[in-house]
Amino acid sequence: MDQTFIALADPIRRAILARLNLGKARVTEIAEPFPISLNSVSKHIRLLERAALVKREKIGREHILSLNPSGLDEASAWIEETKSLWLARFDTLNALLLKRKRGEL
Amino acid sequence: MTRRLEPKTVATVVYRFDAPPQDVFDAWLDPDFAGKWWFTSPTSEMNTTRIDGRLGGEYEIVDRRDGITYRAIGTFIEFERPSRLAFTFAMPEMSDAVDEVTITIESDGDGSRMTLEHVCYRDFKEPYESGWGMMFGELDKLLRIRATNK
Repeated sequence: MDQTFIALADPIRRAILARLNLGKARVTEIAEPFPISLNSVSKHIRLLERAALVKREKIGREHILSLNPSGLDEASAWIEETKSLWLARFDTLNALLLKRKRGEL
Repeated sequence: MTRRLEPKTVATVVYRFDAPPQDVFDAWLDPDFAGKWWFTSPTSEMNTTRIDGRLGGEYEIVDRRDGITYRAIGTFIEFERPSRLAFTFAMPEMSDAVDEVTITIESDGDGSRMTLEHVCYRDFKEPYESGWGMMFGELDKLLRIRATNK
């Protein structure tokens, strides 16, 4: 699950998955909406492939990407993402509570 | 309360805070304080938090980050200071789903232990309105519109 966590932790990678959720796409199509280089987008895609969230088919010279449905049970992914979201918020909250106790807030 | 439709998916988190239960409870209700942690992130560019902290009271949090505006709304459905709080959670621009979050807070030495249960009633098997659709929200919608216009 760690690799999935890392893969889902980045807004660009989540956006790539959101795009693929609409259907298969070429790497260049995926890269188009992002204000970053094709090379950076490719790095994000490789990370998603390593996490088994995305799979790549080669059709002639084209590389077609799609979501890997077996890579992620959606409900488990929601649970993990939701837990990590709340834990991160609680870390912030506890730090704020401690700051206030020390009179720094 | 009417029984909600299955399927139901639950995420549970237990956390120990270095502050007494009433401080942890109130952290959800003070808009200035809640705006610093509840529905925001380190990359937040703008946050507006409005909270009517009472049973039946509503909240609305708007947070802009990574160029996307997120809006969360809900109603407090249980309210027992300082031990129990429950509210609905929805992001209406992104999904029709309405989640429920329940928090229980117990005293633990000089701090407190909070258990949070986040329940969602989405059918994750549906490709749209799924975890993906919800999480990726607005971008998903934008891309859909673009794809339709092509």
